[in-house]
Amino acid sequence: MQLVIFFVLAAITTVAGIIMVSADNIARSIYSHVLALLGIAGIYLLLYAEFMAGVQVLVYAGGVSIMLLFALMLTKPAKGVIRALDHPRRVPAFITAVVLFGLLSFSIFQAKWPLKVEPSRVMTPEVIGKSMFADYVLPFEIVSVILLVALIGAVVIGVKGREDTDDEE
Amino acid sequence: MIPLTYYLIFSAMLFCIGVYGVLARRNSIMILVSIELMLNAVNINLVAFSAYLRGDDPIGQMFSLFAIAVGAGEIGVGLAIILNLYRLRNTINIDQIDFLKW
Repeated sequence: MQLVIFFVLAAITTVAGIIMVSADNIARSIYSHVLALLGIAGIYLLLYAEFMAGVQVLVYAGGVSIMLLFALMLTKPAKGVIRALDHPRRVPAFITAVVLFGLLSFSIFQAKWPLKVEPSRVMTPEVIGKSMFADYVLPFEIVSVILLVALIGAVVIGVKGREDTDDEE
Repeated sequence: MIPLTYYLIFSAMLFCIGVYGVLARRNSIMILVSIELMLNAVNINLVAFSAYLRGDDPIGQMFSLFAIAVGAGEIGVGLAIILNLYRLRNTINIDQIDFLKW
């Protein structure tokens, strides 16, 4: 039963990813990206990582995709301008991706994984929270500072660009 | 019981789709989206390793959570840069953004 669910989720996610990199419309691309992210959240649930699934839906499927859509709406090309979305060198890109996948799957099948346990215990938010605030307090604080820096940096970059264009006008 | 290798192959496939997207797309928003897909593939790997190799220890999920936080910051700064480029150049196609090429 788990195997069937895994294959369904993996198929949905992979097809959504392929649509994402091959669609002609950027908005459609971002929507299928959301679908792929939701499929990944389902995969996390299969791995008994319910907190990860929640964070995935909240941060990626919720926040990041909305930001991407905003950026898309703000940078829409003028009407009547037809621009190819794909780079002309997409065949070498495809070959690179396929060769990389071949190498990765070859090494995955070659490696001997020291399997210790079967996943069975649900990682509740309680376990995650205890671990995060007991063993990983320092990384947690550093990440909060990084987020603050990224926030201020994004604002500074955005405002600075507007001043530059005003000067040019 | 799903073998660990299934998760690894699945995540390798997502990663390669992301690689293709980064290399083949021309719109920089699409490149950012593809990078997000690659980050997610890596996160699946970390969570799967944590579940199969460590049992009760959620260390892999910790890694993934921090990776998600840093990835969110990266998307914010990246989109700010893209919007800025759009204001300056009126395009976000990467092959027309060549300030640093001389």
